Formats: sequence, structure tokens, C-alpha cells
Amino acid sequence: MYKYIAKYFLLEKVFLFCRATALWSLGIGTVSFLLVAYVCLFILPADATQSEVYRILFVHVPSAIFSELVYIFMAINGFIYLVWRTKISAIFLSSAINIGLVFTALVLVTGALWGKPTWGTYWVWDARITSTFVLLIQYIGILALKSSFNSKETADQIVSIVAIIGAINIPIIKFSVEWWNTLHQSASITFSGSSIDAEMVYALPLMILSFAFLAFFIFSRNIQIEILSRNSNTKKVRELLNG
Amino acid sequence: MDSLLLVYACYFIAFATLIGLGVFVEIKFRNQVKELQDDYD
Repeated sequence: MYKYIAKYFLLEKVFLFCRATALWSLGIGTVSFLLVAYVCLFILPADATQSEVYRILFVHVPSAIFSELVYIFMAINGFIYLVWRTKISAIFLSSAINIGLVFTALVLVTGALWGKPTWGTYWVWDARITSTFVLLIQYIGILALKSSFNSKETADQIVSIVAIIGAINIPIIKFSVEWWNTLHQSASITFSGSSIDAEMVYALPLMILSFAFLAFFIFSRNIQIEILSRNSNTKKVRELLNG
Repeated sequence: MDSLLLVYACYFIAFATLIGLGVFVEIKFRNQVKELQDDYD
């Protein structure tokens, strides 16, 4: 099973896949973001209670989803790296850090801008917002940690361990609105249904998809940068650059 | 502040941040490729 999966994640194959898909991903992501943003800003009707401000949620929610998903992805890759010592897992982990950092910063900024007209304040130290702020600190810490070691291997090991330990914050963020009394509302979309009207909710998965394409572009370029910097003196890299 | 202005600001910040990071990594990648090719030459 492991060997079957591993053959698809050889460094050259991953590099070539990233090279072939990166710019397509950027193009699709940019166009789809602009189209979906147009729909969200000008086509969807205003909300009965929140009026225009609810439109912020179409960028806030995808940012929130990706801030957590990216961290889970990093923790899983950290675990795989520590157990099986697969180089590509360490590369995936390193390549995802700045994406997670940006999404976490975005969720906090867009949430603050939504909070001012809705709650009357940009910021409150409630459980959801505080735990998301902790996630931002974690991303900054991991990014700093990654560049603090001369040896890539040591950095990969330490970053993997920290990423795995830090994953404890993800369920805290997710369930904070249920475990504590928070100003932040509980989930609007659950397995049992959505409290957002069907006339508006369809734009949300489309925005998530356009965020995913833009994130994939950054991720694939990060992977290429990591592969090149880790193997700059090898014949394989020379062939990859010439090929 | 006008609420619609806040909405536009959020969309602009999200788009500019993601594209900004994209441009940053693209430039970093191209510089790295150029440096390596110069080294090989």
C-alpha cells in the first residue's frame, strides 16, 4: 500500500506536476474569484437582518475553512515524515505554512471588519476568536522555526513535532462555540442543513473552490522552490530545469 | 463607516493578499531557477 502511494510522490513527478498545473491554477483561481466576487457583491440579495455586511462571510468562511484545513494537512504530513521519513511530506509541510498563515490572517481581518457593524466592536477575546489568534501565532512560530536551523533535516523534525502538538488547537477552534459561551455564532452549515437561505448559500462553495485554486498555485510554487533548494546540486534538478 | 465600503475592503484585502503572496512566490521561484541555471552554466 505504502509503496503503491509512494511511487506517485517521487520528487521529479511532483515537480513536473506542479510545473504543469501551477499557472493554470492561478488563471482559473483569479477568473473564478472575480466572477464569484461579482455574484456575491452585485447579484445576491441583501440579507434581511444584516443587510450588506453579510457579504463579507463569503470571504471570511472560506478563509476560516482553509486556515484549519491547511494546519491539519501540515500535522498529517509532519506525522508521515516522522514515521516514514518521506522527504516529500516534509516538503509538503514546509510549502503549506505561509498559505495557512495568510488564510488565518485573512479570517481575523475579515472577521474584525464584519464584527464592527454587527457586534459593535472589531475585537473581543471570545473563545473562537482567541483560539484562531493562537493559530496565527502557531503559524508564525512554525515559519520562524523552519528557518532557524542550519540543517534542513533537523528543521523538518522539529517543525513536524511542533505541527503535530499544535494540532490540538484545531478541535478547540471548531468546538469553541459549543464548549463556551461566545459572541461568535455556531456553525451556519451543518450535516443536518443550512441556516443560510438557498438563494445565497450556493456562492459559498464556489468561493471556496476559487480560494482552493489560488492556494494551490502558491502551494505548487512553494513545493518547486523547496525541491530546488533541497536538491540544488543533484543531476536530477539539472535535468528538471533543462527538461 | 459605510457598511458597503467594509464589504468591498474585505474582498479587496482577500484578493490582494492571495495574489500578492502568489506574485511573491512566483518571483522567488523564477529567481531561484535563474540562479541555478547560471550556476550550471
